[in-house]
Amino acid sequence: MSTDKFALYDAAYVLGALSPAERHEFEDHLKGCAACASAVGELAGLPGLMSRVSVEDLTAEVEAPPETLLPSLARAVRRERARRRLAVGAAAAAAACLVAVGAVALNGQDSPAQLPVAPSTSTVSGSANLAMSAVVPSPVTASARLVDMAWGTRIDLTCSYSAEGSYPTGGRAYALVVIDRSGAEQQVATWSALPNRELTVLGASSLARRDIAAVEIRTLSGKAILRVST
Amino acid sequence: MASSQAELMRELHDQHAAALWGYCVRLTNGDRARAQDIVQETLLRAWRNPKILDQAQGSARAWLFTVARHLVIDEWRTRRAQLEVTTAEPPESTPVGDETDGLLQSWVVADALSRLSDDHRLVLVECYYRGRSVAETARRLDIPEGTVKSRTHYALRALRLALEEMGVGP
Repeated sequence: MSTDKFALYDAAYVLGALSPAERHEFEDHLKGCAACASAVGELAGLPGLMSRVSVEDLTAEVEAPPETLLPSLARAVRRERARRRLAVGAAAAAAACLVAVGAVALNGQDSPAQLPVAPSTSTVSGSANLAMSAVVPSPVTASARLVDMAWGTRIDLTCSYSAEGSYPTGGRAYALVVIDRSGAEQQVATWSALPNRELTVLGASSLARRDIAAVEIRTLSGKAILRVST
Repeated sequence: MASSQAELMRELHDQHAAALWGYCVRLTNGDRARAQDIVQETLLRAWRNPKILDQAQGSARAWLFTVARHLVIDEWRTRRAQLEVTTAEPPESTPVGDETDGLLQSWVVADALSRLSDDHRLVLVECYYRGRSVAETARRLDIPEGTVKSRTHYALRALRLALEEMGVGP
C-alpha cells in the first residue's frame, strides 16, 4: 500500500467529485506518478457504465417477487422429478429386454404403447428423421425418427409393405436394431409384417441419439433389409 | 434426495429471485404474469444445471439474466410469427435485440451496484449520481473528507470486480 497522499484520489477524480483545486493538484501529480496514472486508467471506464443506471433505479423501493413464485417452483420441481423417475424406469426396462418386444400399433387403430413419450426436458429436445435405404430388394420401405429422451433415444419407425414382391427368406417377422459407434448392437423391437398396411413401431434404446451410428431393419434370422446411417 | 432438490430450488429462489424479478418486470414492460413465467422457467433451468451455481455469484447472475433475456426474445418471436399468420396487425412492441442488450447491461450494472456494501453504494450515489463534491458528501454523511475519498476508491474497485464477474468490463 502506497503512502502517497494521492493514492486514494483516483475514484473521486474519475467520478468528478474533487474540488477544482484538488483536481489540478492531482492532475499535476499524475504526470509524474505511474502508479496513480494506471489506477485512474483502471477506473476510467466505470462512470460510463454507471451512467446506464439512474439514481431512481438505485434508490427505488425494490419490488419483491410474488409470493406465489416459490410454491409454484416447488410444484415444478416435483413434477419434473416424477417425470425423471418414470424415464429412469423405462430405461431400465429397455436395457433388461435386450430382445425387446417393442410396441406395434396399426396407424389409426390402436394407440401406441404407453412408453413415457415426453421428450427429455433436461436438454433442448431434438430429433432426426431418417429415410431408410434398401440393403437387399424387399417389399418393405421405412423411415425412422430418432427422438432425444431423458433415458436415451426413442425410435419411431414407420413401415410400409407392398402386397407385391417376395418376402425375403426368414419370414415376415422383423427386428429393429440400433448400432452404436463402437459397432455394438441393440435389438430394440420386433414385429410381424402386415401387407398393404402402414405400421408404426416404437423402439426404445438406452443409447443417446448421438451415440447411434446406424439403424437397421433385419429379418429375425439376422439378414439386413433396410439400413440408415445417422 | 427429494428434500435436497427442493432445497436447491429454495436456495436459488432466495439468492436470485428478487434480482431476476426486477429485471423480468422491466423486460416484459411491467407484465407481471409473463415476468413470473419467465423467472420460473429461468430458475428451473438453473436448477437443472446446478453447475451454473458453482461459479462466482456474479457469473451465475449474469447467466440467469441472459437466459431470461433469451426467453423473452424467443417468446416475442413466436408471438410475432403467430400474429403474422393470423392477422395483419403489427405485434405489440416488446424490447428486443439491441434494446434488450442495453437493458441487460444497465440491469447488470444496477445489480452489481446493489451488491456493494451500503457505505460503498452511498458514496457513489452522492459523488456520482447526485453530482456532489467530496466536501459536500462528507458534510451530508458526517464523515471526514479523507473517508469519502477512500470509500469511493474501494467502492469503485469492488464495483469493477463485480462487473468483471458478470462479464461486463469497463
